[in-house]
Amino acid sequence: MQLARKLAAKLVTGLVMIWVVATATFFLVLEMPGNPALAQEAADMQHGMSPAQAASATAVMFGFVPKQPLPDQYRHYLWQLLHFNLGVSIAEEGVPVSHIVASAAPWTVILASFGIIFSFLIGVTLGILTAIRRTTRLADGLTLLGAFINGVPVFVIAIMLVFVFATILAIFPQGGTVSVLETPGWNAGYLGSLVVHAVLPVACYTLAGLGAWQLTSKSSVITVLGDDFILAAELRGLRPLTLARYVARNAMLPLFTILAISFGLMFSGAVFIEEVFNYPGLGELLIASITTKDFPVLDGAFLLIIVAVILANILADLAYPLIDPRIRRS
Amino acid sequence: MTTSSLALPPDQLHQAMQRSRQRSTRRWQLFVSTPGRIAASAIIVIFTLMAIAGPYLYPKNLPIDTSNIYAGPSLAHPLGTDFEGTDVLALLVTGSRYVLLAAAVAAVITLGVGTVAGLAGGYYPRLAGSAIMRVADFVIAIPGLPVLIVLLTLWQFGSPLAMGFVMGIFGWGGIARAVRAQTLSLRERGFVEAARGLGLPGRRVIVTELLPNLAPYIGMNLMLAMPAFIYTEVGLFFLGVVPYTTSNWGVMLNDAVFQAGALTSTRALSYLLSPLICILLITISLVTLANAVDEFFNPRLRRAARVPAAAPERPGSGSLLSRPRRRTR
Amino acid sequence: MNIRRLRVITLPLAAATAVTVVAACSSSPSSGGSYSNVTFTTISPNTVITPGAPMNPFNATSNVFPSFDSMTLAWNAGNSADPNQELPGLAQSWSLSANGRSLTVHLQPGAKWSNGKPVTATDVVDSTAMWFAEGLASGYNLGGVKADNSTTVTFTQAPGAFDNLFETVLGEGSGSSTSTNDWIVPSFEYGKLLPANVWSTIAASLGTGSGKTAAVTALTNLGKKIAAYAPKTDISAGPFYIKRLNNSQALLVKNPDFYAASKVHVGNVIMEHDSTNQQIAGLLESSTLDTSPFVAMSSSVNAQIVAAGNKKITWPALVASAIAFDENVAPYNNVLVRQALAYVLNRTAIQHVGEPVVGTPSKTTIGAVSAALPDYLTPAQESALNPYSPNTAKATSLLESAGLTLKSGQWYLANGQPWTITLPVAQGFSDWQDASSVIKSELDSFGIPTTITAGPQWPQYQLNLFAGQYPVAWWLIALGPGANPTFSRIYGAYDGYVGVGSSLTRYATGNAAAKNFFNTPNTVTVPGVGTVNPGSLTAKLAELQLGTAAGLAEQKQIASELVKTINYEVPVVQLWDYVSLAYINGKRFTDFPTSTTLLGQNPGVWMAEGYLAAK
Repeated sequence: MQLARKLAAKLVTGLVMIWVVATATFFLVLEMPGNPALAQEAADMQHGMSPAQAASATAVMFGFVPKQPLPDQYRHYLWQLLHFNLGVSIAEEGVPVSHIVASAAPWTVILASFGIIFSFLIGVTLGILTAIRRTTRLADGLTLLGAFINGVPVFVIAIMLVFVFATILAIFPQGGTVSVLETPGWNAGYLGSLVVHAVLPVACYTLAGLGAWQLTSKSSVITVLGDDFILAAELRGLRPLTLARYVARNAMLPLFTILAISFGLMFSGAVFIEEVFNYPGLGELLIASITTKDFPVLDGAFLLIIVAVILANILADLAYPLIDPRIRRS
Repeated sequence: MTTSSLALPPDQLHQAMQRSRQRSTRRWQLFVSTPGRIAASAIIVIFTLMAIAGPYLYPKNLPIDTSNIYAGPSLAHPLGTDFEGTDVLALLVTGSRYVLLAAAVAAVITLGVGTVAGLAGGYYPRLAGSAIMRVADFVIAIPGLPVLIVLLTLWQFGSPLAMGFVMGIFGWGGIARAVRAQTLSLRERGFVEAARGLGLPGRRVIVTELLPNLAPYIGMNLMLAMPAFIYTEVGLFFLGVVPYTTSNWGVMLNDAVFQAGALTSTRALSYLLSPLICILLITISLVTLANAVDEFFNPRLRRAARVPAAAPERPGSGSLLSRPRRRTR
Repeated sequence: MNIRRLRVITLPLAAATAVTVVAACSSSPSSGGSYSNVTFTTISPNTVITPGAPMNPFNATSNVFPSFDSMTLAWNAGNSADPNQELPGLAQSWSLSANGRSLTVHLQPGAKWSNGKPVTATDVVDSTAMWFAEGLASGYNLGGVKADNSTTVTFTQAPGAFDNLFETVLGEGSGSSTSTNDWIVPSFEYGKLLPANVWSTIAASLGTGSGKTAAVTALTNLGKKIAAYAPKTDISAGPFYIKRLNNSQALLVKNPDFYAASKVHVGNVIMEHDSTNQQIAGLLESSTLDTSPFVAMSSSVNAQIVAAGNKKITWPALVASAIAFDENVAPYNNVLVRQALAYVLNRTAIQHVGEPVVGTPSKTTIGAVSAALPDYLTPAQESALNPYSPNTAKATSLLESAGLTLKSGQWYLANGQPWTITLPVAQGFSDWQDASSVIKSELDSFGIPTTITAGPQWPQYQLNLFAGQYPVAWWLIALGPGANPTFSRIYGAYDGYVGVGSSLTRYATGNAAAKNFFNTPNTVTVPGVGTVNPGSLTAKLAELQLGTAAGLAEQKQIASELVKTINYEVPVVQLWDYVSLAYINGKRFTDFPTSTTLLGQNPGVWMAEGYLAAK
């Protein structure tokens, strides 16, 4: 019962936040100079059309640019949003925004899910290893490695991976999601191609997150190792395995919250990776629609990002008491 | 959780705190004794000096030499030259100010706003707390990088202050939450309860009791926030979405990769590596120092580092990483 | 336009196509109807491919591929002198009436859509109605169209107007153009979108009557409806049709119903979606691409691509970069000052840094690309031009005679103010950005302190320029093909001239009807030419009948006067001419075209002409 009330409260605040952020981005995005038709007109002129030709060639696109006063546009936007209608793209002349966003989002989900899971698993394993062996040279080396990986900007990792594995060795494709030659479906060729295309971006995602996980989990484990109850358990002569379970359980708790939040942030977290790997997810869509000034698409993409973050926060808050009994008490 | 300090009269309590500060001085000596940390401090000092004094060492307009483009390292040009024959070392030194100043401004704003909001939210959990935390949640929910890019098309960030300001404004949510959690936990500790029990006004308790205890935590976060902001701004220049007139490290990386093709030919390698190595040095130094600070106030961690908070744009992390670990009490 | 991180460089397009003579396209060098299933891979010079978005050429999405599945009547050959030079598309042949006002087009016999239905005159007529709805045709001064029989149509020019029908109707852009174009679409699929009264609406929209506004609105709404229409499958009259799209690639397969299917020896085409230059370089180095679209590369990347086994092909592009002046602002109203600046700027050094691979320093300031000069001038006239070789002494004496003074390394204007220059660079134009620092360095050391500012993105940059905010600015000039568009970049709308013939009007800076920022004098006196009115000369170029030898000769005469005028008056300092650059990878395919006319087209045109065979 209490849980239900808490959930309801969270959902209400969540909705309010979505409204606030959606409103803020709506006006922010509209403030951007120019519009898709103007951008296209300029591009047409650069392509050698005369000003008159360019103006007439973009007449139709201008038709898609809303002309009502701003408050009306905003009211219309909210009204449509209530009906789960994100409007239509301007640069793509009438294609529903929901369609464009929905065709980009899955690629980001693939990239981010695997990236987060792998970096979590590998990073935490290394972190625990470093923590247990913290007085050895191995741990020093691992810590330095973690700090180093954590110190390389993600776009640099991406470019290096492309350079080595796609350009020089040519064992992985440089970009894209799947070979168009494969028939879509549950067949080996298609799935294999999906995997081959995802290897480098996922590896990049993994490497980029690895250091942070390693260092955080190491620190978490060390803190727990120094706790009184572990000392007590050691003094009581508990078997190392039991001890390890105690340690793991207590050290992992804070990490799960961060994991949940990471999933929430996944939609906005891959801009650099998607740009470098030419992976047509939400990050690339964002950059492309900023370039073309396609504000309905931008609004839609922002909305998805915000909803994901807020949902992940709510889930993390709700799940935390379930996995950490101490919270329930307080 | 001891409540014995409640029994201490105020002057004895004061003495106890004095002793604690003396202990800190000894720890400081311990800290300085590690060679890695000395090196890290030295690197930070050097880069700070570079950012402050560097631009004065060179003429306002760096000379160009169109007959000596993408030259390799030589005596005249220790790090080679760029696309117009300008000395890369000179670019590196003069470009450091923008990068470091913007990151510093962003970090200070993040820490300032985040600390104030977190302290207020934690100390007055009922009144200000929930309102402030809603705002913090709002800031966290905003997709930082994309919004930054949109803002960049709106305003022109010729000035590092503007760039730093915008990065800071979107960066404080995580710190606010973290500081609030720390405050909530400190609030229940003996010495704070004692101070409150003595009837000291809230503002005084916050400034004299809470803030000193949070200082190392905040300082550590400052050091960890800097690299994150350096990535973000350098990344924006690297992506080529920011207009610029003067060179800085991000512009250099962009030029090296997209113009010089430094990844596919060794011709401009020193041009590519120079800013990259600077960024790495700064990052690793700051992380090392942050570890030191943490260890120094948190004896449990001796001989081991504690490093959270990574770049907001890093997958698997986000500014939320700087949420405090739950400590068992 | 070397847009740094941005997209594949699509600037040249109309411009990047071939110059000089239209090398007669030799017919298919190989014969036989068989083709291999080897896949040809190239890049679609558009934005991201969106599965599920319309496969409709009138939509601005990138799910259409010119010359592969989307066809026009003809492809512009990109001839610098004669914009009416065309390569055949769905039209097999055409003829212009004696007065140049109507054009009769004969469709390819046997042209069929990919479902086997024939391409008919009705398709062309309905498509023309859609051009009007899309706003294309009115820009071309097209008046109307009628079907003569099932395979012949006649286009007529709008009353009063005179434009080059060939260029406008047959293939406004070249085969490599990506912008919305005069596509031919099937009536059986799109015809239902047209209301019965569409032609009367079009007539009303072209007229001056009371119903004009309502008719234009109706057409715009119809245009939106057409643009958003999404056929279930791709219906192509080209050599290929789309079989499948994903977010990063499109698969096109051979259309057996294509009119020249027997000449096409390629079974599948993969279009990689648009990416950054860095990615295209990588795809070339790993031999993934069989050919690349035009890409601006730095010299080191270029060397690497060539080392990886790609063949680099260059030919002159019909566009150049220049520094333009607003002659409303002192001291730029003084011809001596402009000439002096032409002597100060070292074009070779500027091009070397700004556009090292896809640029070549301009011979001198002429308003046209150097490669087009033989179209306009005799060799003797050409050698009489002032070459403006870098010469600071000459510049100094010119400035002094213009009343400027040099004191301790700084030039002062006649009014005693120190002379400084602010040069804005449109965002994303990295070649301009790089070149600007050389310009700054040259001007600084000459005594004119120069500031480079980060300008806004191109649309806003232009608006600021048109509002008179930039006394000195970067500008693209010499945009061909054809003499009129070329010189219009200086003495056209950007100098306030709008209209043709007797309707030619000149507007001042700030008037919305024109985009005047040059503000040149109405008439100028040029040594060796006399007094000329460059604006009316340029407008006159639009009225020539380029289909005739007399028209071409007159064009040459007018253009030669304009070249001499520009060379003397220096309304711009021309810095570099662009070079079109493509790479060919011979690993999988052989028999690439050799004429630059064809190389300037999309590969679909090559294949339709019988080129390309798997090794």
